Amino acid sequence: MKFILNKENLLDALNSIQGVVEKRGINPILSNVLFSADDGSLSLTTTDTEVELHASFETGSLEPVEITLPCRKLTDICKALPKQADIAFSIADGKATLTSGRSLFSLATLPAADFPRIPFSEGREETLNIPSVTFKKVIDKTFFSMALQDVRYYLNGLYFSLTQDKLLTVTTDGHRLSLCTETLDEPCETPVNVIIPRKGAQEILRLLDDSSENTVLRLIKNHLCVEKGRHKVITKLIDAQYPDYEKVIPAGGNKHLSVEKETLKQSLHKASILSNEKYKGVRLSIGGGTLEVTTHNPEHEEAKDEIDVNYQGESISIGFNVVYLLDILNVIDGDEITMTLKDENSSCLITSQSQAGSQYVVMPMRL
Amino acid sequence: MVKRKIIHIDMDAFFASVEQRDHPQYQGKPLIVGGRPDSRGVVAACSYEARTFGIHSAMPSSQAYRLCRHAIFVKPRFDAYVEASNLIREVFLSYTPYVEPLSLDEAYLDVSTCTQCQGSATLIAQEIKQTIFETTRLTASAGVSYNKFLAKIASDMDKPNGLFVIKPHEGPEFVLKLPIRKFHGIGSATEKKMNALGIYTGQDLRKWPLDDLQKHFGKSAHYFFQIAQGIDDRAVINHRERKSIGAETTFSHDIDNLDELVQQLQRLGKEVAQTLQKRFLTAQTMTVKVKYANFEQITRSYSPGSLIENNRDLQKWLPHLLQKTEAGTRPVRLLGVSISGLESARETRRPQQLNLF
Repeated sequence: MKFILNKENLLDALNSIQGVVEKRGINPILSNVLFSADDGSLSLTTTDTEVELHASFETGSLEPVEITLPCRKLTDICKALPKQADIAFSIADGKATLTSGRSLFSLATLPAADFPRIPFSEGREETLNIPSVTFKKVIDKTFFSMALQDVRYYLNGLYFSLTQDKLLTVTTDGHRLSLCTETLDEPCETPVNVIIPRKGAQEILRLLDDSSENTVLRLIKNHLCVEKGRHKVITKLIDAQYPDYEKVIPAGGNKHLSVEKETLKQSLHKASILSNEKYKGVRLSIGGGTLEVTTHNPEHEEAKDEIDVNYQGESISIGFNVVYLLDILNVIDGDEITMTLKDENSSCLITSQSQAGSQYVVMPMRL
Repeated sequence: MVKRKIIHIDMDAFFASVEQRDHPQYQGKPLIVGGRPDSRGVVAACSYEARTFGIHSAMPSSQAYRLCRHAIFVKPRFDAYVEASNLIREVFLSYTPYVEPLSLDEAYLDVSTCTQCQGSATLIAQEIKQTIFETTRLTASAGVSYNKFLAKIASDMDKPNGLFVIKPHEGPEFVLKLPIRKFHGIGSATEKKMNALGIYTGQDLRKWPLDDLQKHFGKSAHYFFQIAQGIDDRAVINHRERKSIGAETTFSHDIDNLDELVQQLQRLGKEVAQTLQKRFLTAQTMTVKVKYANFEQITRSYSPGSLIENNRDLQKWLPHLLQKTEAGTRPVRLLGVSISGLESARETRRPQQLNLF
């Protein structure tokens, strides 16, 4: 097997599929990238057996290639070669010999037949089209509050739902919840409700950009494939019932407070410096047109910061994990946000007019 | 640091010896205290006569029976053992207040400041053995050395009814020749791991620098590094704080029905939570233990982030932990629940993050 590839094409493709390559391989083939050529293009695949990443590029006619090469080493070699270099591959006797200019590299290969593929072909297929910018937004705005290695494994994923023209994502770690909705131009006939695992959601996010170019979603059985241009992510889905998120979005809040986002963010940040490193608790005392953030830590150090807010209701004092609040302020659009509170034991709802379809819920902390 | 004088006293085949003392007809015979041979119980203790057949404690009774068909099986009488244990403890306390019981039949004594027997730890150990025998008609083995690690090894050197001394200048030399399996704190799992690294004796272990040991053994590395040189600074602690609360149960028949297991789990969780609240404690971590029918055992732990204060906090997560095991698809023999990271509930209240659901 012999073929010649352009360094830039190869490097671009390799860079886009690094995310799932195993670092210290227990299973050596998972450190490898699968080369398969057909119909004038070369397709590269990496996998961690849960998520599979694909990238392909035009090569002109090529004889059939099916081989796996060590992904990181190959990437590093590409990076080291001069711009626009041509790399000649020659594969024989379990070795891949790469020559470019006056350089020669001989890499170990593993047979393509041993490369574990996600079986993504059998069963009924649902196909959807979503503009990249919209898809990116609904993941971007909610990703941060996804649980990390929770025993409730279904929380370690992003809930993704599409009903007619309403696209919705939800994440929660049990302490806070983020929900984002967007309206699509073209309604979708069959409703979709899936939980995309963290890694899969992360790779999908990496694939997307702010263009209005369509991404193609294909659902088969328990897998989701997202395709954009010459890139593709196939991920397993979490097979479980997602918690009833509507139930925990507070409705009974009667204390509405609006505040400049940047001002609140800075105030919280200042106070957080002296909060308990482990629990990150801060107290918000709201009343008479001001919001006071106070905190202290086990070393008996204290911080207090006061800002002006728009608030007419009765005074309230409530504790929060400051990180949870800052996380929201870091993703939410708009200059002004609204906090809706009920009492010190009930959840707080944060919304912004500039991001009308989103709701952020945080449970308080008893300090 | 002044060289300490530590004695480790270990009763000889304690439960079995009590039975042989109270039932002269058992004397000189292979005796097994524990489950019936036709039950799923295990050997709690066995007489030295039984040990010659290869029987040892924690072995399934059915297996012990196959090894020695004429062995006598008796049910444990814990009241009798506790009574004997209390008598022994009184003997210890008449010499030193620094007594650290490890179980009913084993304790460390720090006799560094004792004035009896001209302060000779060897003579004190001899006297303690003698007094124990006079008050209980039971024999004990004593190990005498300058730290806990060596004292424990010493008590095992000359069993039964033994007395073995490792003097300060002999300690490092002694450890060199010792197979690592004899080291307290090195169980069969660590032994295998060490063997794989070419460590079989104290001498092998001593060749390892601390940094390298840390790579393989993490937190335990420091202890291993020290004991390889015969150093062990652990004090004799006469009041031991509880580190965990647990409850477990071996079923009379293996269970493969998940619902039934969940019920059992809830029952165990409730029991553990009751102890927790009775002692005014809170916990950080919960652990579910599952032993499958083939005796393979696994544990799954979880720290919810907020404190575990009561049964509700526990029940919320236990079924999730059970899901992380193969319970329900593989038959289960034993189920256990424990909680650790205990702290007084009355201590300054820590912030508590509330949950959405």
